[in-house]
Amino acid sequence: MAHQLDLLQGTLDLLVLKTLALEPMHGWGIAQRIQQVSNDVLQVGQGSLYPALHRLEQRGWIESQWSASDNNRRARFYSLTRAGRKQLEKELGEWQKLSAAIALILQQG
Amino acid sequence: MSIKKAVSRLIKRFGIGHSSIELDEELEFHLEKEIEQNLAAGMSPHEARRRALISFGGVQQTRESIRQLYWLRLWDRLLQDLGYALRMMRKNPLFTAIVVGVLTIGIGANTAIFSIIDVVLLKMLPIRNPEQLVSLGYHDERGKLFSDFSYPAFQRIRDRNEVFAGVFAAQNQTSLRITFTGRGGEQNEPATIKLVSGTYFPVLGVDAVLGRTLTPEDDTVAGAHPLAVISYGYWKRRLTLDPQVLGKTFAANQTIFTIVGVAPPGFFGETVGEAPDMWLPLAMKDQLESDDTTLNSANTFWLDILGRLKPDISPARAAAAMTVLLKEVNGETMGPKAGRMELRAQVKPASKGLDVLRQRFFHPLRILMAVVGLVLLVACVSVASLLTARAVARQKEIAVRVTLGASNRRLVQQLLTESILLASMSGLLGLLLTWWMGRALTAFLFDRDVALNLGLNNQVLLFTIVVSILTGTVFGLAPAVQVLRSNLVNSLKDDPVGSGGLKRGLGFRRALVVAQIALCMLLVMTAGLFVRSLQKLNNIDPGFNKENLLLVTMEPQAGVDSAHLKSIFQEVLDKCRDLPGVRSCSVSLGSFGDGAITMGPMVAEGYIPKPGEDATLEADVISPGFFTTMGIPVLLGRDFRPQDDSAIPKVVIINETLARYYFGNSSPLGKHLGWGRIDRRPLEIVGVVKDSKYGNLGEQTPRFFYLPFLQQADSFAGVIRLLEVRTMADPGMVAAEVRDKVNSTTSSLQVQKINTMMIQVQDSLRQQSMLARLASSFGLFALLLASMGLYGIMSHAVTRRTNEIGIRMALGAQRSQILWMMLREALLLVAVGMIVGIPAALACTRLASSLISGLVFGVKAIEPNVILASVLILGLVALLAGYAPARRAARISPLQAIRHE
Repeated sequence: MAHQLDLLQGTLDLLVLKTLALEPMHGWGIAQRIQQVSNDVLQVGQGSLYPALHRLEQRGWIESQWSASDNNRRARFYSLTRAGRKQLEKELGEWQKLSAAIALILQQG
Repeated sequence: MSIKKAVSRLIKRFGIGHSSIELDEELEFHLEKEIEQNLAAGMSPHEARRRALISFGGVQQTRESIRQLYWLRLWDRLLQDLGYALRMMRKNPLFTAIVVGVLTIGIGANTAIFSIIDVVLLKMLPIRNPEQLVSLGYHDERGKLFSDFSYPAFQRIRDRNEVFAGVFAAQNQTSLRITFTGRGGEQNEPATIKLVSGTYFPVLGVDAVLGRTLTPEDDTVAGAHPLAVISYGYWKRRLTLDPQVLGKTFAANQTIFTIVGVAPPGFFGETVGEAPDMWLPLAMKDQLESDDTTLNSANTFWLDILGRLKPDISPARAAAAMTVLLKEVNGETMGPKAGRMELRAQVKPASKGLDVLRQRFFHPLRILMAVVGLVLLVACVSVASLLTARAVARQKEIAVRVTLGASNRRLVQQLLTESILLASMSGLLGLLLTWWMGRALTAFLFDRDVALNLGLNNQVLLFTIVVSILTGTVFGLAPAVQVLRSNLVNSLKDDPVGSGGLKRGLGFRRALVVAQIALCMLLVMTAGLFVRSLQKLNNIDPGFNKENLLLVTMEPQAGVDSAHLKSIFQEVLDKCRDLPGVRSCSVSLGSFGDGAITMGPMVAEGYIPKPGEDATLEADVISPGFFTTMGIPVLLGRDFRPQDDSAIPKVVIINETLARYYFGNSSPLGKHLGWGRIDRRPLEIVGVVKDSKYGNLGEQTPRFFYLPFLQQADSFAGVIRLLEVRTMADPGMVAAEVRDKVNSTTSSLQVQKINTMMIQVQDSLRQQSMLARLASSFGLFALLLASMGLYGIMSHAVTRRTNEIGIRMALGAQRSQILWMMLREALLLVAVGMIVGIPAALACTRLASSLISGLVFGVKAIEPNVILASVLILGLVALLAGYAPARRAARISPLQAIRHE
């Protein structure tokens, strides 16, 4: 199992928003998805995931709803709001600018 | 669990976030998913769980960080709301000033009354373990309660009881003239003193801040302990906190006293309302006071007895033990017959001090609290109405905020923050007002010698805070609900008159105005009851002529014997009679306001008493000329004469009530009254005089008799205190001369106080006139607020209907018709308010009738005149408030009006 990478402040928010852009998901599902898509490089522990989810909800970017999960167990599903979608676009743009800038600096080596 | 659920619902409702229960459920779900995954990977259930828990990490930390998130957010919002509220206030300074002003009066009045209630009714004495203090009293065989004891009785109780850990006796505070020795201070300055037993300070557990307090050794030999402990207040006021005060001496009645200590600040003794300047040992009584009632007299009951019970003794057990002891003591001090008299001792908690003041002011204070509570309610309704008007005006702004994403609860939060901030500001100002009003009210409410230690303490502060927040919520909720209900989308359109929101707002404001009028009605009617009662009292015939009458209180020196006093009084009378401007004068034991004395049991010739009848009678001891001077007509027989002295048979004059009671329609002249038995020292009735009041104007005149001072001087010369002077004109003009004449007669008799009967009579109505005045001013305040509300809504109505009025005029409506149309609307509101208010007021006064009946005289709870007057007053105010807008409406020019929009 790959070791856990520390995520940059704000990066987790971006990942969560991006993940939720596909479909509403519960917390565990989000963590799983991030792990799978990143080929197990990125593992999100509950200790950082849930504060992030609640923070995003407070800002009004995501909203939550209790409903039945696979085997009929109650789970809280998060989904992106309109404001969240806007925010995701904005952050994606910023991220691309930032990573391009970092790549430029690193390539100069 | 259910409480937890309720809390979580509350948290959600206020939009702070999710509850911790939901968070736990969410985290649990997460953990179970992990376990499932591990199981699927082929781990054993135990291993799956262990691994999951390890990778899961600390749950507590997560919870903590999420909770922090919510608190931060709450705080943020609060700051945001406060900032916004402050900005709104700055933008509308006049509006803010009016709201804060109205609320300040409301809250200030409540805190002021509460601070007095706190001191008089609630607060415990500033002594060690006040809850242990008890007072001693006893019921006689008729069940009447007594709480005064003689000194010999106290000594025996102190030495022989087995239930008290400590017990002390104290006299009510009295005033005295003292002269500080050794420096050129004022001669004979007044000081308030209190005689207390040596056990007083030790039992109360009060230590001196300087020097020492009195101890049991300071109260053993009569006349041998000329010592004084002064109060902190006196030390500060009179002696400028002089550190060299110990050992200072002063003369009181020719005895030199030495100050040995200063009591701690805030200590006033065991009776709320007293504030003695100094405490002196009981043993010094005979050196200070001149009445016949010497220290060791067993028949003078002048001491309150209080103490602390032993830890294992209940008040009931103590009472049982004291019943036995009191009988024993009575037998020893007053003779075997007194010892056989049935009595039942009473031991009751005195943690709040002796309750003289509490009993007298319990009802008035409660009524006042209710009245100021109503005033605050009126203030709330007025402010709610103002805020609603403004909320309606602000609807566009609010609608903008809604479109920008503010939720409803966010808006309500914002509005409530604003109103609570307004109320808090008013609360703060109210506290300042309390500081000032509390003093004014104390002076107004109580007699001059009552001193209360009113201060800002925790209770008063807490009360103010709770009242402010409650007030803010009450008046803030109305506009908030209004905002939620109104049609926000409509209000975005530029449609100032036709929108649904506005119309509903107006209806709501109408309801508020009706509520204001109804509350106002209640207050005005209460005021009416008190005013009417005062009027009735003022119209009572006291039975004497209160005009041009001077009352001089004299203080004989201690140790002057009765024969000497008798001749001194004679001399004083002779001198005063010769003064220019004086018609006549007399001396007496008591008079109106100073009371009489209770004597007896008495029997009347030919009258068979009913079983259980109270045979004690009220009496006064007077010199010849008393009736002439007082203006009390002699109806039958004659006045006392100078010849009525010890030589001839003892004579007595009775009042009408006594004559009717004992002798019916037959003439009482020549019949006799006797002390206990008809043949014991019989008094021959020589005259009947008209009834006159002694205690207060409202009293039922008691059976009353008068004894001639000349004949009874041996027994009563020492208690003669009053000189009555009937003057030809303003009695104030001769006051100074009378004082000089009395003071120059002999050094053994000095004038203590001069008053006119007019003032004495007015003073007796103090409580009633205070209630009437306070209730009226609060009623007036409520009227002002109600008329403000009415004016506001009428002005609005005129603006709203300008167009319509213009059309009506164009169609030929007369100005007077328009005027009436608008006035009718105002009157309608008032009428609805009255229809709601009158039954409510009647219900309230009926509910409080037991409270009120003790305070009003000759007025029933339902007094048609009062109701009628209140209706007229309110109607008049409504007309005034409605007239200005209505006139404005009538002056509208039709052309302009139609162009209005």
